[in-house]
Amino acid sequence: MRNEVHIVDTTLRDGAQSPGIAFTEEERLDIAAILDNCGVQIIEAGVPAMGPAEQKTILKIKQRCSKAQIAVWNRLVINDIKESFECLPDIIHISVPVSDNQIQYKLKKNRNEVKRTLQECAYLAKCYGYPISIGFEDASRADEAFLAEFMVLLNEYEPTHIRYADTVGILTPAQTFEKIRRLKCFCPYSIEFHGHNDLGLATANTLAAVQAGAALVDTTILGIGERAGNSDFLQTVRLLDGLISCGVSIREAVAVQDIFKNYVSDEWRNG
Amino acid sequence: MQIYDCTLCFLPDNFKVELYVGLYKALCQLPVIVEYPLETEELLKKADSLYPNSKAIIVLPPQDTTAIPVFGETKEVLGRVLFPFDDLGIAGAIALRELEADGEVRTAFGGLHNTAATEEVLMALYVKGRLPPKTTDFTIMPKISTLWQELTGKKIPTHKAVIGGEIFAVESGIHVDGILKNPELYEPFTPEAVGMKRKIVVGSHSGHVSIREKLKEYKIYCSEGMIDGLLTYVQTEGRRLKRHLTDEEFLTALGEEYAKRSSYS
Repeated sequence: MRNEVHIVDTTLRDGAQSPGIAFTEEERLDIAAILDNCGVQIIEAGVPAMGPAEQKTILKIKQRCSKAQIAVWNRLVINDIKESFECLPDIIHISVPVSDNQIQYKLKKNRNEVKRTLQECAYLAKCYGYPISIGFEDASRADEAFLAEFMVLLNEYEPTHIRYADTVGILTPAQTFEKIRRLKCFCPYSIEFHGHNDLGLATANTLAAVQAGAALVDTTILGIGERAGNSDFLQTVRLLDGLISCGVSIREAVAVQDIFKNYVSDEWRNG
Repeated sequence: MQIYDCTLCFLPDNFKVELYVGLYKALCQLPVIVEYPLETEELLKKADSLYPNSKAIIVLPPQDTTAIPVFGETKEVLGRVLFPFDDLGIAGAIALRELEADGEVRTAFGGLHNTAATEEVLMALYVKGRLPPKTTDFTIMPKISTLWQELTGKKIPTHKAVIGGEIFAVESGIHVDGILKNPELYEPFTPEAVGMKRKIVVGSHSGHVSIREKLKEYKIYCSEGMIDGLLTYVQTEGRRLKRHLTDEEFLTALGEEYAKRSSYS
């Protein structure tokens, strides 16, 4: 097992999309600042494609943070990547639906079109000199052979890491371990794990992913997120403590959570 | 593989008998062995006949420490009932691991008394196809939740996995669109599987699709202009309230929008 794992906090992206969550620009800047201070390595700050106001906020977040890298989330759409340039991010994240279900029903494309579009998006970002990371959306329900095909394709774009997303939260820890272990066999890039809590297993799955060799893990503060939420930031830090260094101490994580409670309604505060 | 549910053992003493018996009966609908404190056996017998999948026990608190498991290693079965407590938030995962090794675990509904949550463990087994098909009717869960809340005086968090009241609420424009096209894209199991319903809520993340769907729900026709007006209002209110709007609030907004329109003409 590695001796260090990085936390990618997505409170401001995946968290902010959930029903009943709404942050003002000031709040988003404050949240980014406390995350930056406590030692989180990457802050996923938002979705530039949402428009000029969002882009301005992300740019301000970028200016406010001195330590953490700022990542922005993009759909597999060329125009989204162009919008990202307005934010001057450290990392451009491109989310690629990889399960046949998502490719067929959400993108209405086929596998080859997905690969071609990814090449176009990655090429554009790299041309402008931005590091990219690739997200495998709905990876837990995807065909592994198809995931392997991406590795060759991504060679020339040198992604900083690959996100393995259990988008609908169906994995168990044993499955997570097995899938990440297998992915490591054919993926030459650092692996990031993104878990959801539909079965109450998000943090346990995150732990299993780290045990199998994941180098980055996604969290949201208080576990906010769609449906039953994401892997809880404080719980994740607690679980990793003593096992591996994640750059954030339990004491700092508790402080972050306490401040964050001011920005959400009761239904999340007491959950 | 066996789950023992000990919810009834951790309820406050001053319970209302009819609620207690109701919860006992409802829990017995789940594919678990329902454990109840020995001292309530007479009471349950008097109320109804005892169910074959229940038994009296002498209550003990959870005893298994949460030593952090290595999930890649093969698990040896414990040889007794594993009863993990949830200090690190992974009791469910520890219980599941024991069950996957064909072991036995003790859990409580809603994770009562710092234990693994029965409903989470059951749904994980269900999603993995580990439960016999005839035992997978979980539509009783909302009823259990209601009785559980009345008996414990606790509130189940709205985002609690499997039983939270808001887990099937969708608000953001993309998700509403996706869910309508193909629910499987965003849900690990259907709301109906656990006796709930998907609901579209409106708030700061809503788009035109959400408003149109909500209007369809009430069989109300609106012009595109009105939908625009409603959407702006809903987004602003959602941001101000930091939650989605209740159905009542939405209908009030709709009424006001109608009034505004008619005063123009």
